[in-house]
Amino acid sequence: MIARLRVLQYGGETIREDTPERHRAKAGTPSMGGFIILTALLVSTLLWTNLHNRYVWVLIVATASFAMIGFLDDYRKLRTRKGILAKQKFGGQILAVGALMTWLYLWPPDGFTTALSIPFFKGWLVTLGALWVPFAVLVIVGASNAVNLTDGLDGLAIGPIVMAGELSRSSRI
Amino acid sequence: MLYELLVPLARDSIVFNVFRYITFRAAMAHGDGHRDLRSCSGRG
Repeated sequence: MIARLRVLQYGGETIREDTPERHRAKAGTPSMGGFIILTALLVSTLLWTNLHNRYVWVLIVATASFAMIGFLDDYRKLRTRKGILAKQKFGGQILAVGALMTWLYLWPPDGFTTALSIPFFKGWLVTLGALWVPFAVLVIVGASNAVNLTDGLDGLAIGPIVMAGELSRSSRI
Repeated sequence: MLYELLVPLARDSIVFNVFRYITFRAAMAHGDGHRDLRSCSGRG
């Protein structure tokens, strides 16, 4: 599949001019490899989780919508050498997660709570109420963009993704 | 999907009860995920 992506992308990823010499070997690496990771994550989730659990669907839709935004960005980059604008990407992420979190807040499943526990303060819970929605959006979009900023050097992004992916899949199950 | 399919079979045979266990399903999903990754990247 990687070879096929490389052929389809006429040589693959270009790299920035200010990239250190050591990393120039990455030129030509095909983009959209996240499609492979997403396939593995979604297939195993759909096969082995309890699909009656709404939290499972929240995670699946959130992952798939972020992947779709990433796909659009990469696809446009291949066509026009420019991805989608930062505000479009950011806006799309906020919109997707905002809709999901609002859905959870307005139609809460069993056991849902907006109480936030503070590390090291046992028994101290802050009930966020409606503020839980923007807080959840901040955490999810922030974590996603943290990985995005980490990406670029070998293994820096995939390391956290392997751990986060395993944790996410286990929590879905 | 396999969860929905296999767990009800525990009524007929106790062997299928294993599919209720989170650790078992997590291990199976882990294996499936790796198999998908390997086959998609052409290393399977």
